[in-house]
Amino acid sequence: MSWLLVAIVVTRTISDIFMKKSVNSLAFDTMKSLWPNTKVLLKNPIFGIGILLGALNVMLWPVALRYFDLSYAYPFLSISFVLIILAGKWMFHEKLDVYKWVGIVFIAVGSMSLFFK
Amino acid sequence: MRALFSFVVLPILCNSFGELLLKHRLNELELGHVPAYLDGLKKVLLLFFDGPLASYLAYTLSVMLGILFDPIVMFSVGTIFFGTVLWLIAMSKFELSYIYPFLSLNYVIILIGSQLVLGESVSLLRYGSVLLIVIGLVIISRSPYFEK
Repeated sequence: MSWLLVAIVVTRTISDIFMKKSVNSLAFDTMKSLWPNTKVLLKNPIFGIGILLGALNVMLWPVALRYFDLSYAYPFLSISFVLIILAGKWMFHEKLDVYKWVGIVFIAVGSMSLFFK
Repeated sequence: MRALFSFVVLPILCNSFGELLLKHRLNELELGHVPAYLDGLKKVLLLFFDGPLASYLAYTLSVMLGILFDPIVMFSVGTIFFGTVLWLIAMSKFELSYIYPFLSLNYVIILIGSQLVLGESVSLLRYGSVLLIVIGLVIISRSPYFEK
Protein backbone atom coordinates (compact mmCIF):
# COMPACT_ATOMS: atom_id res chain seq x y z
CA MET A 1 0.00 0.00 0.00
CA SER A 2 2.99 2.35 0.30
CA TRP A 3 2.50 3.27 -3.38
CA LEU A 4 -0.45 5.33 -2.06
CA LEU A 5 1.82 7.60 -0.01
CA VAL A 6 4.26 7.88 -2.92
CA ALA A 7 1.35 8.78 -5.23
CA ILE A 8 0.22 11.45 -2.75
CA VAL A 9 3.70 13.02 -2.60
CA VAL A 10 4.09 12.88 -6.41
CA THR A 11 0.64 14.38 -7.17
CA ARG A 12 1.19 17.13 -4.62
CA THR A 13 4.63 17.99 -6.02
CA ILE A 14 3.66 17.96 -9.71
CA SER A 15 0.44 19.84 -8.98
CA ASP A 16 2.32 22.63 -7.18
CA ILE A 17 4.97 22.84 -9.95
CA PHE A 18 2.29 23.05 -12.67
CA MET A 19 0.34 25.71 -10.74
CA LYS A 20 3.49 27.76 -10.29
CA LYS A 21 4.37 27.34 -13.97
CA SER A 22 0.94 28.51 -15.11
CA VAL A 23 0.69 31.59 -12.86
CA ASN A 24 4.36 32.62 -13.13
CA SER A 25 3.95 34.72 -16.29
CA LEU A 26 0.78 36.47 -15.08
CA ALA A 27 0.75 39.80 -13.26
CA PHE A 28 -1.94 40.10 -10.57
CA ASP A 29 -1.34 43.76 -9.77
CA THR A 30 -4.87 45.13 -9.76
CA MET A 31 -8.32 43.69 -9.27
CA LYS A 32 -8.95 44.55 -12.93
CA SER A 33 -6.44 41.90 -14.02
CA LEU A 34 -8.31 39.20 -12.09
CA TRP A 35 -10.83 38.20 -14.79
CA PRO A 36 -8.48 38.36 -17.83
CA ASN A 37 -5.93 36.31 -15.90
CA THR A 38 -8.58 33.77 -14.90
CA LYS A 39 -9.53 33.37 -18.56
CA VAL A 40 -5.89 32.79 -19.49
CA LEU A 41 -5.56 30.20 -16.72
CA LEU A 42 -8.72 28.33 -17.71
CA LYS A 43 -7.38 27.92 -21.26
CA ASN A 44 -4.01 26.67 -20.03
CA PRO A 45 -3.85 22.84 -20.05
CA ILE A 46 -0.92 22.90 -17.58
CA PHE A 47 -3.18 24.67 -15.07
CA GLY A 48 -5.98 22.14 -15.69
CA ILE A 49 -3.64 19.20 -15.08
CA GLY A 50 -2.39 20.92 -11.91
CA ILE A 51 -5.97 21.28 -10.61
CA LEU A 52 -6.80 17.64 -11.48
CA LEU A 53 -3.69 16.30 -9.74
CA GLY A 54 -4.49 18.49 -6.72
CA ALA A 55 -8.02 17.04 -6.58
CA LEU A 56 -6.63 13.50 -6.91
CA ASN A 57 -4.23 14.28 -4.05
CA VAL A 58 -7.11 15.35 -1.77
CA MET A 59 -9.11 12.22 -2.66
CA LEU A 60 -6.22 9.81 -2.07
CA TRP A 61 -5.31 11.21 1.36
CA PRO A 62 -8.32 9.82 3.33
CA VAL A 63 -7.82 6.45 1.61
CA ALA A 64 -4.17 6.40 2.67
CA LEU A 65 -5.10 7.30 6.26
CA ARG A 66 -7.20 4.15 6.34
CA TYR A 67 -4.00 2.09 6.06
CA PHE A 68 -1.26 4.13 7.76
CA ASP A 69 -0.66 5.64 11.19
CA LEU A 70 -1.24 9.39 11.16
CA SER A 71 2.04 9.88 13.05
CA TYR A 72 3.80 8.18 10.10
CA ALA A 73 1.84 9.43 7.08
CA TYR A 74 1.65 13.12 7.99
CA PRO A 75 5.41 13.77 8.45
CA PHE A 76 6.05 11.59 5.36
CA LEU A 77 4.42 14.26 3.20
CA SER A 78 7.22 16.70 4.04
CA ILE A 79 9.32 14.95 1.36
CA SER A 80 7.39 17.11 -1.09
CA PHE A 81 8.91 20.25 0.54
CA VAL A 82 12.34 18.98 -0.55
CA LEU A 83 11.16 18.05 -4.07
CA ILE A 84 9.36 21.37 -4.58
CA ILE A 85 12.33 23.47 -3.45
CA LEU A 86 14.66 21.52 -5.77
CA ALA A 87 12.13 21.99 -8.60
CA GLY A 88 12.16 25.71 -7.81
CA LYS A 89 15.89 25.75 -8.49
CA TRP A 90 15.98 23.59 -11.63
CA MET A 91 12.76 24.69 -13.33
CA PHE A 92 12.23 28.28 -12.17
CA HIS A 93 15.86 29.23 -11.43
CA GLU A 94 15.01 30.34 -7.89
CA LYS A 95 17.91 31.13 -5.59
CA LEU A 96 18.97 28.39 -3.19
CA ASP A 97 21.09 29.89 -0.41
CA VAL A 98 22.78 28.05 2.47
CA TYR A 99 19.64 28.31 4.66
CA LYS A 100 17.60 26.36 2.13
CA TRP A 101 20.28 23.70 1.55
CA VAL A 102 20.71 23.12 5.29
CA GLY A 103 16.92 23.10 5.79
CA ILE A 104 16.47 20.61 2.95
CA VAL A 105 19.06 18.28 4.48
CA PHE A 106 17.30 18.42 7.89
CA ILE A 107 13.88 17.69 6.34
CA ALA A 108 15.26 14.95 4.09
CA VAL A 109 17.07 13.22 6.97
CA GLY A 110 14.01 13.69 9.19
CA SER A 111 11.57 12.17 6.70
CA MET A 112 13.92 9.34 5.74
CA SER A 113 14.37 8.41 9.41
CA LEU A 114 10.60 7.86 9.58
CA PHE A 115 11.23 4.55 7.82
CA PHE A 116 12.95 3.14 10.91
CA LYS A 117 10.56 1.96 13.59
CA MET B 1 -2.70 40.12 17.79
CA ARG B 2 -6.27 39.31 16.82
CA ALA B 3 -5.20 38.83 13.18
CA LEU B 4 -2.39 36.55 14.32
CA PHE B 5 -4.92 34.36 16.11
CA SER B 6 -7.56 34.34 13.35
CA PHE B 7 -5.29 33.70 10.39
CA VAL B 8 -2.22 31.94 11.81
CA VAL B 9 -3.16 30.06 15.00
CA LEU B 10 -6.76 29.20 14.04
CA PRO B 11 -5.84 27.57 10.69
CA ILE B 12 -3.21 25.47 12.46
CA LEU B 13 -5.78 24.34 15.03
CA CYS B 14 -8.30 23.63 12.21
CA ASN B 15 -5.71 21.63 10.30
CA SER B 16 -4.51 19.44 13.16
CA PHE B 17 -8.06 18.97 14.50
CA GLY B 18 -9.25 18.02 10.99
CA GLU B 19 -6.44 15.52 10.45
CA LEU B 20 -6.94 13.88 13.85
CA LEU B 21 -10.72 13.65 13.37
CA LEU B 22 -10.24 12.27 9.85
CA LYS B 23 -7.89 9.57 11.05
CA HIS B 24 -10.14 8.77 14.03
CA ARG B 25 -13.14 8.34 11.74
CA LEU B 26 -11.21 6.22 9.22
CA ASN B 27 -10.08 3.91 12.01
CA GLU B 28 -13.66 3.16 13.05
CA LEU B 29 -15.33 3.33 9.62
CA GLU B 30 -16.83 -0.04 8.65
CA LEU B 31 -16.16 -0.83 5.01
CA GLY B 32 -16.80 -4.59 5.12
CA HIS B 33 -20.41 -4.47 3.97
CA VAL B 34 -20.92 -4.25 0.20
CA PRO B 35 -23.19 -1.37 -0.83
CA ALA B 36 -26.15 -2.02 -3.14
CA TYR B 37 -24.76 -0.02 -6.05
CA LEU B 38 -21.75 -2.34 -6.24
CA ASP B 39 -23.63 -4.83 -8.45
CA GLY B 40 -24.62 -2.14 -10.94
CA LEU B 41 -21.09 -0.79 -10.94
CA LYS B 42 -19.73 -4.28 -11.55
CA LYS B 43 -22.03 -4.79 -14.55
CA VAL B 44 -20.73 -1.59 -16.12
CA LEU B 45 -17.12 -2.58 -15.43
CA LEU B 46 -17.71 -6.05 -16.92
CA LEU B 47 -18.28 -4.36 -20.27
CA PHE B 48 -14.65 -3.21 -20.25
CA PHE B 49 -12.70 -5.71 -18.11
CA ASP B 50 -12.71 -9.45 -17.42
CA GLY B 51 -14.49 -10.92 -14.38
CA PRO B 52 -11.88 -10.94 -11.57
CA LEU B 53 -10.49 -7.56 -12.55
CA ALA B 54 -13.99 -6.08 -12.71
CA SER B 55 -14.91 -7.31 -9.23
CA TYR B 56 -11.56 -6.08 -7.85
CA LEU B 57 -12.07 -2.63 -9.40
CA ALA B 58 -15.68 -2.47 -8.21
CA TYR B 59 -14.61 -3.37 -4.68
CA THR B 60 -11.77 -0.81 -4.65
CA LEU B 61 -14.05 1.90 -6.04
CA SER B 62 -16.78 1.16 -3.51
CA VAL B 63 -14.25 1.38 -0.65
CA MET B 64 -13.00 4.73 -2.00
CA LEU B 65 -16.54 6.08 -2.48
CA GLY B 66 -17.56 4.80 0.96
CA ILE B 67 -14.67 6.77 2.45
CA LEU B 68 -15.12 9.95 0.40
CA PHE B 69 -18.88 10.25 0.94
CA ASP B 70 -18.86 9.61 4.66
CA PRO B 71 -20.28 12.75 6.35
CA ILE B 72 -17.60 12.92 9.07
CA VAL B 73 -14.82 12.43 6.51
CA MET B 74 -16.34 15.27 4.48
CA PHE B 75 -16.61 17.44 7.60
CA SER B 76 -12.96 16.92 8.54
CA VAL B 77 -11.73 17.53 4.99
CA GLY B 78 -13.90 20.69 5.04
CA THR B 79 -12.25 21.80 8.30
CA ILE B 80 -8.80 21.30 6.77
CA PHE B 81 -9.90 23.24 3.67
CA PHE B 82 -11.30 26.08 5.82
CA GLY B 83 -7.96 26.26 7.66
CA THR B 84 -6.14 26.42 4.32
CA VAL B 85 -8.26 29.38 3.20
CA LEU B 86 -7.51 31.24 6.47
CA TRP B 87 -3.84 30.44 5.94
CA LEU B 88 -3.97 32.00 2.44
CA ILE B 89 -5.30 35.21 4.04
CA ALA B 90 -2.41 35.08 6.53
CA MET B 91 0.06 34.85 3.64
CA SER B 92 -1.28 38.12 2.25
CA LYS B 93 -1.22 39.87 5.65
CA PHE B 94 2.12 38.76 7.12
CA GLU B 95 5.61 38.16 5.84
CA LEU B 96 5.89 34.51 4.92
CA SER B 97 9.21 34.11 6.74
CA TYR B 98 7.48 35.24 9.96
CA ILE B 99 4.45 32.93 9.84
CA TYR B 100 5.98 29.88 8.15
CA PRO B 101 7.63 28.45 11.29
CA PHE B 102 4.20 28.42 12.96
CA LEU B 103 3.20 25.83 10.36
CA SER B 104 5.56 23.32 11.93
CA LEU B 105 3.36 23.39 15.05
CA ASN B 106 1.05 21.14 12.98
CA TYR B 107 3.60 18.34 13.08
CA VAL B 108 4.01 18.59 16.83
CA ILE B 109 0.26 18.76 17.61
CA ILE B 110 -0.50 15.87 15.24
CA LEU B 111 2.26 13.70 16.68
CA ILE B 112 1.16 14.26 20.28
CA GLY B 113 -2.50 13.88 19.25
CA SER B 114 -1.76 10.61 17.43
CA GLN B 115 -0.32 9.23 20.63
CA LEU B 116 -2.82 10.60 23.16
CA VAL B 117 -6.08 10.69 21.18
CA LEU B 118 -5.66 7.96 18.58
CA GLY B 119 -3.56 5.67 20.75
CA GLU B 120 -0.85 5.12 18.13
CA SER B 121 2.49 3.96 19.49
CA VAL B 122 4.86 6.81 18.72
CA SER B 123 8.49 5.89 19.27
CA LEU B 124 11.14 8.32 20.51
CA LEU B 125 12.80 7.96 17.08
CA ARG B 126 9.64 9.29 15.42
CA TYR B 127 9.67 12.34 17.71
CA GLY B 128 13.31 12.79 16.65
CA SER B 129 12.34 12.59 12.94
CA VAL B 130 9.65 15.23 13.38
CA LEU B 131 12.06 17.43 15.36
CA LEU B 132 14.47 17.32 12.38
CA ILE B 133 11.65 18.28 9.97
CA VAL B 134 10.60 21.17 12.24
CA ILE B 135 14.21 22.44 12.51
CA GLY B 136 14.53 22.19 8.71
CA LEU B 137 11.35 24.23 8.14
CA VAL B 138 12.44 26.92 10.60
CA ILE B 139 15.91 27.18 8.96
CA ILE B 140 14.37 27.44 5.46
CA SER B 141 12.03 30.20 6.64
CA ARG B 142 15.05 32.19 7.87
CA SER B 143 16.38 32.45 4.31
CA PRO B 144 16.52 36.05 3.07
CA TYR B 145 15.12 34.89 -0.29
CA PHE B 146 12.00 33.47 1.34
CA GLU B 147 9.59 36.31 0.72
CA LYS B 148 6.16 36.50 -0.76
